[in-house]
Amino acid sequence: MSDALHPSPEVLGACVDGALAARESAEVEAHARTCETCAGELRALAALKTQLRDGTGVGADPAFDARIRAALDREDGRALPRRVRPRWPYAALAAAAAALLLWAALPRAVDLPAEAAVLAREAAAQPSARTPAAALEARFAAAELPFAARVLDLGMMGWEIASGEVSRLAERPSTQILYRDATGRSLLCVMLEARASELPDDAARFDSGAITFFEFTRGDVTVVAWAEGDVLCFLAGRLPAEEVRALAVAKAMLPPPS
Amino acid sequence: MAQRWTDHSARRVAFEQLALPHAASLRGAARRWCSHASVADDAVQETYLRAYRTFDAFEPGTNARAWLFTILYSVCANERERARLRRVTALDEIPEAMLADPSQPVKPEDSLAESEVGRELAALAEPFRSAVLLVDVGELSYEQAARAAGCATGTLRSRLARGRRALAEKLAHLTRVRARAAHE
Repeated sequence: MSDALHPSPEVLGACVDGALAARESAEVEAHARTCETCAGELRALAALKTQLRDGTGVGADPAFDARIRAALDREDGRALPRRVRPRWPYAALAAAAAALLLWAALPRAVDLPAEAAVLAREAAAQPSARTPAAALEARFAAAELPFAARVLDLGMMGWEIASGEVSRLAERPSTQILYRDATGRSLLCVMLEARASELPDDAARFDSGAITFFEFTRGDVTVVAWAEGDVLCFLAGRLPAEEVRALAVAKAMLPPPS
Repeated sequence: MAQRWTDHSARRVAFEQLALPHAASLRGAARRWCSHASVADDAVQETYLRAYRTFDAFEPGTNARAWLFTILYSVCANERERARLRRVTALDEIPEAMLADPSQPVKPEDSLAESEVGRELAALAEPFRSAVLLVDVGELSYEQAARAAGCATGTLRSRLARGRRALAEKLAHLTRVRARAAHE
């Protein structure tokens, strides 16, 4: 390979990547020893690779690792029962399979408050910065959600919006807004298209005005839910129940008559 | 040879030790494939879940980073397609005035341009960006990257060379501009 016949950029790149056959790689290296242009190209490509590998990640984030672990925990919760392999006779196995098919055909009851509690625990670990309510409202409007999402203003009660996003809960689009108070405590508001009849029946119910509230405890998280027409709203946080209850009562409202 | 796990706890520990160290790189790459940081983080979470479900098929000693990037690429491609179908408006289509609030601190999730090379990579056109991400960031071989991207190895090689050249030119231009500014 002479100076007049430079390797193509593809070949030089493949050389840096170790993707050439040994003979071809030796030829390129021999050429580069006598050609400063190609030697420079090889050095630049190697430097670019290093820059790309080391300079494009985000910083280490223990909160994100915790989020992944929480997701794996949930996955384990689902996966463990499937790992049980009893040595039953075939007839019993067939009966179990039939029962399983029947169960699969039934409507799936999702524990919405439990899902909201998981999200609240995850959100508490997220980094945050004050977010304008107008920006969130625009984001929600742009997402063309199948329900009328609103952004609760809890500022008067000392809770500022820390972040917000459109995500999914129980396979449905939902809005999720994280609030923080001055001491760093967190509270999550979740809204999605659902009915109060979908809530589990272990709620402590109470009424305020014309609205019925449903209070749940899921681990260390208090979840208060209420319906605004076809939108189900949740406030969830590791807070005293009376505090979550008071915030919900203050901000719940009946939907405008259609 | 794939490993058969009989102890569930050991499987979980082994997965975390192998996969979690790559979280920062995966998040960085996902943010260049997805329109919004929260969507990107969701994609990385989904990547970990898929990897965990198929961990038994992973061959110990092979490149875990490449394995995870292959899954991430697929997840992000699906997400982009779903977003297109749902016509979900990306954040950058929301009027700028609604988002740019100079009185507010920049959220970490929005400070994506943490390095010049990262910013220029994000601005690179597809499919060149994916070729560079898969090979240079994800450390996939040409054959693995071509399989992930659904193209021939030669095509991948060509995209990679063009993507790198475009990146190098942009970075060189920025260096020249900075040097000129310093001189003035």
